[in-house]
Amino acid sequence: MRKMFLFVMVVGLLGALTSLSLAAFPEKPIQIINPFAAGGETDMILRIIANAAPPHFGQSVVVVNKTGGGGSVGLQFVVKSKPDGYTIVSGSLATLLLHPLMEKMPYSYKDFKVIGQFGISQIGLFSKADAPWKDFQGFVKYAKEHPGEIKYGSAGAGTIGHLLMESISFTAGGLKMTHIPFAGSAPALTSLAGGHIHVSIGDVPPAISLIEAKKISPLVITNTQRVKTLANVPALPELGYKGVDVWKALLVPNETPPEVVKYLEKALEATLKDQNCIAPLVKIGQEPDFIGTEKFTPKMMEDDKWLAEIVAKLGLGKK
Amino acid sequence: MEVLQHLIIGFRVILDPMNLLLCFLGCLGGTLVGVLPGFGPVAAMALLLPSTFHLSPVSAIIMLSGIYYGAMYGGSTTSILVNIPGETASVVTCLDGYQMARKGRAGPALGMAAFASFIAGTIGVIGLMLLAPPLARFALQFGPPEYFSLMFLGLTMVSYLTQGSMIKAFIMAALGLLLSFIGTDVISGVSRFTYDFIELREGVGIIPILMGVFGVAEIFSNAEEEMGRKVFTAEIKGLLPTRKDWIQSKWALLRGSLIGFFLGILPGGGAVIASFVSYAVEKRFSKHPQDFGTGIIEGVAGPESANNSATAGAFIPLLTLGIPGNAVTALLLGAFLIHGTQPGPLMMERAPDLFWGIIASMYVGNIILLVLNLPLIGIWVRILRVPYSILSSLILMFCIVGAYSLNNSLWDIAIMIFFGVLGHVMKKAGFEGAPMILSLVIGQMFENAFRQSLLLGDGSFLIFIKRPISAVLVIISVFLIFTATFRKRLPQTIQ
Repeated sequence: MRKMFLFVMVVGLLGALTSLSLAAFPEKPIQIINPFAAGGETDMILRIIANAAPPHFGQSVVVVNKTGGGGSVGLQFVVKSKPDGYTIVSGSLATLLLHPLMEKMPYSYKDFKVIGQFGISQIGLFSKADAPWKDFQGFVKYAKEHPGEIKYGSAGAGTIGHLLMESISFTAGGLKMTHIPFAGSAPALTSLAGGHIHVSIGDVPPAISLIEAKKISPLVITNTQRVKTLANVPALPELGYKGVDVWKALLVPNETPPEVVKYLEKALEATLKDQNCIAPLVKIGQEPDFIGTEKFTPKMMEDDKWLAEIVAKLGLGKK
Repeated sequence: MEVLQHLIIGFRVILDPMNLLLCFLGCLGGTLVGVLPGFGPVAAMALLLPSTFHLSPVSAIIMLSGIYYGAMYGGSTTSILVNIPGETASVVTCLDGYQMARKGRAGPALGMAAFASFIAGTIGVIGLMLLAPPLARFALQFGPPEYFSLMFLGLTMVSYLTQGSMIKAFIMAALGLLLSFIGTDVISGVSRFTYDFIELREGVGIIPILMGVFGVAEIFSNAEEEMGRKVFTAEIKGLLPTRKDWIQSKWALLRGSLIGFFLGILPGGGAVIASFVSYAVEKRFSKHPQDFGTGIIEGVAGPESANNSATAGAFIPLLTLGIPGNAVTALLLGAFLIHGTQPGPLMMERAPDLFWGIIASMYVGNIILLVLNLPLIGIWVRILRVPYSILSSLILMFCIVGAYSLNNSLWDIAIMIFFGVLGHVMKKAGFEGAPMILSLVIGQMFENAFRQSLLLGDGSFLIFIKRPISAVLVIISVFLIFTATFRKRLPQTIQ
């Protein structure tokens, strides 16, 4: 009986000791959940990061796709998962901030802690080829002088592109344009190339070949800075408008211990500085863009404020 | 001719042993993926995309494209054998193909599917080679009003998809349209009928519904009868299409190839709609339309030709303009970008061996697939001999795994089983699944195009008539509706 008691005590003590050793994180492979489909832009970026990650994270990093619900299923999955730092999710301005504003979601940004931003989407405003304006200012002027004539395309009502366009309209003093929503930025670009709409706002990479074919022309980049692939095209802030960086960041559940979050943040930063990561990213036309938690959080709050304002102004979102 | 010179460049690329091997592997993988229900070419290509990183752009695209064509060949196999469409585009093949299998003619059905795919695929590549740039320009002329009129025309085909009561077919079509409304609305940004289920934000998945209504429901119906009953007549009558089959199918092959090619060019159009239209056209022009649905060879030859030439057609906007027409070409576009090439009009000038290498690989791929699939027919047909009690459990297992593989989620399995039960009950009441699938597939595009067109026309319905292409399509649709109604009425009034 006594031996049994001693045995149990020793085992219990050992158990307690191991759970106290936080320095052992990470002990097993880390999962990054991608809420979007395999083979997409985000997927490629995450896989490149995961590939270069082991020396900096101290364990292997695996990308797992959990698609559905326009990105929300993946986030919901991670919100409900154990907050031990082994399950990370890739979130974006749209999935983390915009969707909860638009409709009832089983999570909000308050349920997550941000490890760090790892990249930015490149978005621009494009015009059909044979248009009566030569540049962005010309377009705004034309839109002002011909209210109700301009038809602009976007990836759908309530998407970032739509909100950006309306923001441009407000800043320019209220342009009367008709919004033609499409089921994604690819159909919108196709329609633009066919001349069925006047301008369209969407991702830059698929637009490049159409620009080279002279079917469409770029008017302005909606990020806060110019992009390398269209270096001659000005960015909105240069012309006096608000630019928005549609960021992609890695997130963990809110209850994850702060030391673990800090560890992951440092590891991500180091990975994004690694040549094994930078070279493949550049090859696919992306640029690593790391922002740590401290600098990122105020930026995120500002984005949320702007989004909430414009969603309310347009009468979209939860009633 | 210049084209021949270019083609020689292309063949030199594809006949390189490495590229040939990759093409073969892609086709093989694609066939397997096509046979597995649920798991589609997009998923397979996405999985293999990172491993192509170290290959040259040509090699990578050749392999990935091989998966695409292979899946189209493989998808018809399960449609014919067990009434489960491996791919959405293979749904229509179920209608007559499966009935042929039940009559002991699985071999000829599979054989005709393979040959039809080969012939149509080759015609498609030739069309791509000769007519790509002008066709791409034509495709760009399709804006929202043209898409609406085309979808409207497609919906009129519903009446040709049914064997039984027309009213019931229309009810199913209406159900399909209702189902297509579920999800976040593109035009208004509001979520409709999602009842706060975030999984429904993108709509109810077509593939789980397909697998449920066609595959699972069929298993339930068969299970309801005695298990000992022979689902498939034991006598296998031949392994290849007979001379009679070929004579009967010749127009179906030609018409199917042309329909598929032209519909495949339109971004968003594609193989699914092409296969439905081909079936409807064959039934319309047939001397014995009442036999459609009982297992006749034209019902396989037409749609199979259509979905394979549509594959070639889909490459046209991708290669000439860099515009992806469907999920597969979108992934290929991503593959191009990752390998540092921009597909588009300048690709022909800047990277001729890439462009022509891909085209040559399509010819070679079609040959490889024909050679691969014909001997397999004997094996597939033998599978049907497995006692149905075992076979049905295996099929169900593959379906469940296939449904899960779509989103790594149990949700899709639930949808599939729900629609399996629903499909079974519907069948007992005489409602068929095909009209519902057609309107489900078309529904979203139909509604979006309608509202986009009205926005473009500032609220006027005249936009559908003012634009020439749209007007033509509307007139054809109205004509078809008119003649269909009249045809049905006339015999009754005479009596």
